[in-house]
Amino acid sequence: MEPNSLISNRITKVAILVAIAVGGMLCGSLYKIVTLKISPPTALEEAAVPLHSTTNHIAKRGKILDSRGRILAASRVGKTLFVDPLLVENPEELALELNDTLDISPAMVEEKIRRKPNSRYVVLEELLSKAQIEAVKSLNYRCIGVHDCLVREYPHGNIGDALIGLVGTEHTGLAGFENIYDQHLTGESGSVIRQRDSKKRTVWVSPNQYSPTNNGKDIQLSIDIVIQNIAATRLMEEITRCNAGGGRIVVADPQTGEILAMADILNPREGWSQQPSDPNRSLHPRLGRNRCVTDPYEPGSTFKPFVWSVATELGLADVDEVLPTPSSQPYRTSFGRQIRDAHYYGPSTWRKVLIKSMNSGMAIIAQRLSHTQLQTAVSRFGFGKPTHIGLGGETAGILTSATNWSDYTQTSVSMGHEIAVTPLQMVQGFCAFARDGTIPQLLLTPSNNTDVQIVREAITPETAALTRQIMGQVMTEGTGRKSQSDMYTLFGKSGTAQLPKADGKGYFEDRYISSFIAGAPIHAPSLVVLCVIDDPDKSIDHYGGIVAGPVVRDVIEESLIYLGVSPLTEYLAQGNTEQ
Amino acid sequence: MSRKLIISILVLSFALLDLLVVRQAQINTVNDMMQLHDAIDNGNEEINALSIEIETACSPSQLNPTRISLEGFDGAE
Repeated sequence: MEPNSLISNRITKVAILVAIAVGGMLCGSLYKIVTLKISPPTALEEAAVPLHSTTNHIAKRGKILDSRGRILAASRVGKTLFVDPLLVENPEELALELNDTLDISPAMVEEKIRRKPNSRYVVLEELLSKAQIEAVKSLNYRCIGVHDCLVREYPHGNIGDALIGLVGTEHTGLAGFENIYDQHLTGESGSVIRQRDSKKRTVWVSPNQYSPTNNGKDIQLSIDIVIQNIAATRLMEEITRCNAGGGRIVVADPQTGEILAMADILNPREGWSQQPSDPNRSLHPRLGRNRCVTDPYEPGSTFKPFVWSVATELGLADVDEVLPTPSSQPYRTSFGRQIRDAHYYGPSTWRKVLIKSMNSGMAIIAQRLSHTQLQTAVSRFGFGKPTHIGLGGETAGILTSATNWSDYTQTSVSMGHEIAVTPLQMVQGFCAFARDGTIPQLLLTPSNNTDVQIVREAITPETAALTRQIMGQVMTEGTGRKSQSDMYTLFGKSGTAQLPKADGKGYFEDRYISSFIAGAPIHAPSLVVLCVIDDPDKSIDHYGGIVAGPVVRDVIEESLIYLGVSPLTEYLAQGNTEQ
Repeated sequence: MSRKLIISILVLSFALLDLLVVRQAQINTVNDMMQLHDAIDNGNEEINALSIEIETACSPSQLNPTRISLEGFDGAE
C-alpha cells in the first residue's frame, strides 16, 4: 500500500468517527429536547416558571397646572402591599416579620389573613412609604407581593381645594376641575406580554403582544396659585375678624377674561339661624359646591354703576345735573314708595349720587328710564344669563320677568335689590368698566391675549371711561374711602344689602351681605376683584366699604406687586415724571 | 462521497452553533432593552415624584409662614 493512501484512509476513519460523535451529540440533544418537552421530570416541572408574564402599565392621569405651569394636581405611582392567604404557612410569624420590617400592626395582619383565608388577594397596606418599599425588597415570602397603584397628589394642600376638586378610588374626577376635565385628564393603560426564561429574564416580546400606554393629557388653568392663596388667605382673615357666615372672592383679568383666583369659604357659627351651608363639604372639603358660580346674592349698591352708566349713556341724566335728593328724610317716589339713604346730603349732582351711593338719586333716575330700557340695560351686562364659563351648577341668577316688572321693581333694581346675581356675573359685567365697555367671555384656561372673545358691547368706551373715573372718586370721596390704596389708584363700589329671609317674607333688619367690587390700576386696569362677605356680625362691622373693601384693596395690592405692575408705572401714567 | 458528507455535517454543525450564538445575542439584547425601558420608566417616575415634592416645598402655603417669620428678622443675631 502506498503511504499516501494509508494516511488518507486514516484521515477518513478519524473524520467518520468525529462525524459520528458530532451527529450522535446532535441526535442526543434533539432527543433530550423532545423528552423534556413531552414528559419533563417532576422536579423540573415544579421549578419551571410560566413562559409568559403580563406586565400592566397604568396610565397616569394628566396634571392640572396653574397659569404659570405650577402643579396643582399630579399622579404618581405608589406601591400597595398584598398577601395571598392561601400561601401563608404561619400567619403569626409573617405578622411579626412584617411588624419588624415594615412597622405594620401584627394584629391587623393576622386579622386580615384569618378573615379571608381562601382569598388569593388581601391588601395589607394601601400605600407604602419610600422606606417601606425598600424594606419590602428584603422580605423572602412567596405569599406577599407589591403592585403599582396610582396616587393623586395635591402639592398645594388646601389652597383652591374645592376649585381643583378630587378623584375617587377609580382615579376618576369627582368634583371641581378634576371632574370638568376628566375626559381630557384620563389616560389609557397599556400592557406588555414578555416571554421569560427560567431566570425570569425577558427573552422576547412579540410586536402584537405590546399595547402602548397613553398617559392622560395635562390641563393648564388660568388660576394662579399665588393669587389664589393671597385671595383665600385675606378672605379667611376678614371672615374670622368680623365673625361672618362665609365669604366669596373672585379675581379676574378684565383684558383677557381669565379668572385668576376664586375662593368660597364657609364659617359655621354656633347659635346663628339661616347660615350659608353646604352638606357636601362635611363629606370632604374638595367636594363642596362653588358658590361663586351656584349661589346668587342681592348685590345692593355694587349694582348702581351698571344702571348709572346706562342712564348716563341714554342721556337721561347729565353728570352735573342736580337732582332733588332729600336733605333729611326718605325720598317718596311718584307711586308713594319711601326710599331711604344711609346719609342725607340734600340736592346732589348725578355724579355725587354714585360717589355717595344715594338710593334716592338712583330711584329718581330709574323713574326716567322705561321698564324696557332698564331690563335691556341689565341684560346688556349679562345679568340673568349664565356666563358659560364651564363650571358645573352655574345659575343665571334671579331676574324679575318682564310681565312681573313693576314700578317698584324699577326702583329696587336701580339700587341692586329685587335682583340676584352670582359673583361671576358681577365680575364679568364690571369688566366693561375696566375695558372699553365690552364684556369678555370669562375663561378658566389661559388666553393667548390676541383673540379675546367679546360676548357683547354693554356701553360705549366714553361711558365706560366716565363711569370708571366716577368710581375712582368713590374711592377718594365716597363709600370706598377706607378701602383706598396708597400704592395704586382703584375704582370701585361698595354694597351693603340686607339679608333676605329664607321663607321669602322680607329681610332681616340687622343682617347683611356686604360686598365690594373694584378694579385697578385706573389708567390701565389689569385686575378686577369682587369680595362678598356673607352675614358679618353687625356688632363688629357690616358696611361693604369697611368689611369687604379692605380685602379687595389688599388682594389688588399684593396681586399687582406679584404680577410686576409697579406703583411707579401708574404714577408715570398719570403724567408725572420720575425724579 | 463520504468526505463531502463529513464536511457537510461539520459545516452544518458550525452553522447551527452560529445560529445559536446569534439567537442568544438577540435574547440578551431584548433583555437589556427591557431592563433599560424599566430603568427609564423608574427614572421618569422618580423625576415625577421629585417634581411633586419640589412643588409641595415651594407652595405658597409653605413659603408664606417662612416669609412672615423672616419679616421681623433684621439680619443681626
